Amino acid sequence: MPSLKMTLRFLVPLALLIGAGGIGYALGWWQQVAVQIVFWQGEFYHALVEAVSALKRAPDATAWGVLLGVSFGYGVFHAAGPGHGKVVLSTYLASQGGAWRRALGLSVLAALLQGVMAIAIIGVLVFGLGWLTRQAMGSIDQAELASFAIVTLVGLWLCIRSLRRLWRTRHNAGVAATTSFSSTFTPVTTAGPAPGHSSPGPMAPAHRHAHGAHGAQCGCGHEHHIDPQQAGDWRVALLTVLSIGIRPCSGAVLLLGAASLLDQFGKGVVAVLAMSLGTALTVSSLALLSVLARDWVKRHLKPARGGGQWQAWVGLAGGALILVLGLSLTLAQWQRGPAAGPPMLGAPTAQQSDPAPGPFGAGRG
Amino acid sequence: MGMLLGASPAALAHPHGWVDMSVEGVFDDQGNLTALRQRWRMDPFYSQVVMEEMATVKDGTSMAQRLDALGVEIRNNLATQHNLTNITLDGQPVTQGDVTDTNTDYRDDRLVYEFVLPLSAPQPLAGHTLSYRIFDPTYYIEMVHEANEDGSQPLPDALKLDHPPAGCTTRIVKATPDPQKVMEAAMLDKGENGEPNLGRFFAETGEISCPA
Repeated sequence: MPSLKMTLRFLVPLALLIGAGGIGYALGWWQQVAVQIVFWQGEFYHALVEAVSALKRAPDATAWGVLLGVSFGYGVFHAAGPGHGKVVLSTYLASQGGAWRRALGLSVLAALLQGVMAIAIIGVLVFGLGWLTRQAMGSIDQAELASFAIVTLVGLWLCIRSLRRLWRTRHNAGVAATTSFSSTFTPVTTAGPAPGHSSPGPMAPAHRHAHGAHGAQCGCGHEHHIDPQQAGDWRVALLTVLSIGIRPCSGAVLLLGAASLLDQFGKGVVAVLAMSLGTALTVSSLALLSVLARDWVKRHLKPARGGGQWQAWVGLAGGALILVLGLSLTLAQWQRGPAAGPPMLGAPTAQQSDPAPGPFGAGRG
Repeated sequence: MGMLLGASPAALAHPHGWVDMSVEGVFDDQGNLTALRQRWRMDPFYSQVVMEEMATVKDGTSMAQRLDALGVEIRNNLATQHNLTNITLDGQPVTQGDVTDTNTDYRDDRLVYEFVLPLSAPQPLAGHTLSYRIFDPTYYIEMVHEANEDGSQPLPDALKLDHPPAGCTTRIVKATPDPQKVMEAAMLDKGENGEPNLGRFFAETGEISCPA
C-alpha cells in the first residue's frame, strides 16, 4: 500500500528528525555544545603549547604521541565551530550533486590545503622573505578576503550554470537536456549500483559514473575524456576547495611561527598536518551528512516529471545561497578592516616589501 | 537563511592565546582600596613572536630599553580599552584612574607585563564587595587567573591583598557562561571590529569583601 509505505518511509523519519531537532533546540542543547566546544578549543590550545614545549625538552615517543593526539583533537574541535567553509561545502554538495566519495575527497583536500597554506605562509613569508611571524599572521586577513571572493565566484558560477541549464531545458525539448544533466550531475540513480562496481556501502548513493569518484581523489580529471560541462564541474569543485583551504587557521600559523622560533619547525609541521587530519575528519563528516540528507530527500521527494529541471532549480538555489554568503562575507570584511588581534599590541600589520617599521610604530624596528 | 548567514562568519570566536594573571588589591592606611596591581604573563607562543620582534630592533637600544618601550606601547593600547578591566562595587561601576608603574620583563620564556591600575578615588570596602573582571572582549586572548597544573583551580596567590583591614577575604569565581546568551551574542552583538564580543561570558570574576 503506497500511501502507508510513503508515510512510514518519509513522514515518520521526518517527523522524528524535526521533533528531535526541536526538542534539542528548545532545551538549548546545541548552544551548550557550541559553548563546550569553545571551552575545549581553549584547552586544546593550552595542551598544544604544552606539548610542543614538552617535545622540546624530551623528544621521546610519548611526547610525540601527545603532540600528534593534541594536534588532531585541536583540528577536530577547531573545525567543529561554525565557519563559512563548511556552509559553502555542504551547500555545494547538497545542491550540486556529487557522490559520497566526492564529498570525502573535497573535504579532505580542503582541510589539507589549509594546513599546507599555514606551512607555506611561514615558509615563504618568514623564512623566504624575512617577515616577522606577527606580520605573517596579519597576512591571513588577505587570505580570508581572497577566500570570500572565491566563495562569491563559486556562487556566481553555479548560478550561471544552473540558469544556462534551465534556459536550455526550455529551448531544447526535454530529452536531450535530460541526458546532459545525467552526465553532469553525478547522478543518484534509482537503478542501483552499476555493473562492475562493488556496492559502496549502505550509506552511499549508487553511482554509475566513475569520473566523479576518481577525480575526487586525484583532483585532476584532465586525463579522462570528459565533456566541457563536466570539466566546468571539476573546475568549480576545485574552486570550492580553494575557497575553503586558502585561509589557514591562525592558530596553526602561530603554532608554526612559535615552533620555528624555538627551533622546532619540523615538529610544528607535523603538528599542523595532524591538525589538518582532525579538521578533515570533522569537515568530511559534515559533508557526508549533507550528501546523505540530500539523497534521502531526493529519494522521497523525486518528482515524477521534470527531474532534470528540478535539479537545475535546486542547483540555482544553492548557487544563489553561496553567492549571497560570499558577497555578504566580502562586504563585511571590507567594512571591518583588520581582524581582531591581541588587545595588548593591536593587530599586526602585514607588509609587502619592508618589514622594518613593525607594528610598534616607526623608528623602532 | 538569515540564521545561516548570521551564524556562519566565524560566529564563535575562540582564544588564540592566553594570559595568566595575578591581581593584588592595594589598600591605603585608612583601609580604603586604592588600586588593583596586576601581573600578566603572556602565553609562551605569543611571548615568542613578540620577542622575535624585540630581537630584530637594530637601533642600538638595550633589551631592557626595548622592553620598556614595549610596555609603553602596551599601556597605550590598553588605555583605550579600559585596561580590559571592569570593576564594580556592590554591582555599581567603579571608575579607573590612569595606569602607573608599568614594567615589562621576559622571564622563563614568558613576556610579563606588570602595572598598577588605580581606582579614580580610594574606595572604603567595609561591608562591601568589590568585584572585577579582566577580559579581552573579542576573546582572542583568554585571560585567566594563575591556576594549578591542570588549570582547574586558581592559585591562592592569584588574588592577594596588600595591607588589607582585618577580616577582608577574596574569592575567584569561574565563568559559567549561559549558552543561550553566548549564542545570541555570537549572532547579534558585534564589536567595533565586527567580531562578536564573547569574552565577557568567559571571564572569571575576582571578589574582595571586607567586614562592616
